Amino acid sequence: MKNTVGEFDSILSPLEQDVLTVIWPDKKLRVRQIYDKLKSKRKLALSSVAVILDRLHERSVVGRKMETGRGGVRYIYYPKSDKRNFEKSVVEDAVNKLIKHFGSTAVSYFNERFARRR
Amino acid sequence: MLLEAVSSFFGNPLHLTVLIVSWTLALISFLHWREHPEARYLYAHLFFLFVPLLDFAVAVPCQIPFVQGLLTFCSVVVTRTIIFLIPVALLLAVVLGYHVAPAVYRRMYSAKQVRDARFEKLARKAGLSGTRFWVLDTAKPIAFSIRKDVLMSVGMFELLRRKEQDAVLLHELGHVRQKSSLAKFSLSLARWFSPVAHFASVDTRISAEERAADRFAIRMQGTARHLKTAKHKLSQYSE
Repeated sequence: MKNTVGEFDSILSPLEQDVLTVIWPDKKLRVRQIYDKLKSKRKLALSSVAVILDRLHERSVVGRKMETGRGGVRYIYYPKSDKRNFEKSVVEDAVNKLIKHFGSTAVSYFNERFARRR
Repeated sequence: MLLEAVSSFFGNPLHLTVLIVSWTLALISFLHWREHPEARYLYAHLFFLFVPLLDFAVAVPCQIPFVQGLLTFCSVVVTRTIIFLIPVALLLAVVLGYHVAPAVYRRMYSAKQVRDARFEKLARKAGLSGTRFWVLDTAKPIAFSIRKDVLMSVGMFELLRRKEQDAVLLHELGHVRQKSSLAKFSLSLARWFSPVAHFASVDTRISAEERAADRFAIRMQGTARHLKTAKHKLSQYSE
């Protein structure tokens, strides 16, 4: 499995892709740890990483739990699914949207398309 | 007589409907505009308090002796509104804003009360006792105080270094100290006029109280450096 998510350009912002690239293999990370891993590659602020992680959490792409440590209370972020399952959920979401907006037109197109492939 | 007016008001299906509809709209406004706090509180407030009270003020009869004694032109809608709206709004606002709003706020952010040695040390340093510390479960950097409670978000912890966190906590403890004085208590009565105004005080507005809380934090830390860098980081935080 590739550790890059460059192919999700239309679904994720570049920083979201970078954050996921870091979090997928390492599983559980704090904001500052993710920031430390990314700052060597690109110029960014800790607050930007925090905002991106919050956004990914709102979209249920990552989960988080509170942890109390020396520096106070922190979130530990972890991926909700691995890359493959994430891809699946993106495809499912896109298909659902197409069916919702175009109804039978979308469904008949899928049938045509699958028949062509067979 | 006033009690009779209140009971006949609630006994009237029309007014009861107005009350139920406006409170439902208040609830919808509160739940719907999560992303726009100002619109959320404005409309929630308008529907929750203003509409029912205005309806009550207009509906209540002028025969109540104390009203007649107070102003002879009771029949003027504006006068009646002022007579009935202000005391009832004030009473409701005190109860809601002072007792209910903190609980609502804590629930909104799933606040957890934490016994934090560092916070307790700072509170002692600030000469305060009986203060409670709550952690708000949100990544947005927020900190505020209500009565003797100081609330700070996980996002604030994540964004700031230890000394900067202390500066923010001392700033909030400064607010707790201000509120304990009788003068500030009286001044904050004006804020109680609306429970929403109590919520709105969360905004970091440059006011006399904010400046006094800043001065307190700087005095306690012996330097303005940490508060300054904390504010700079917070100003950089964007949605």
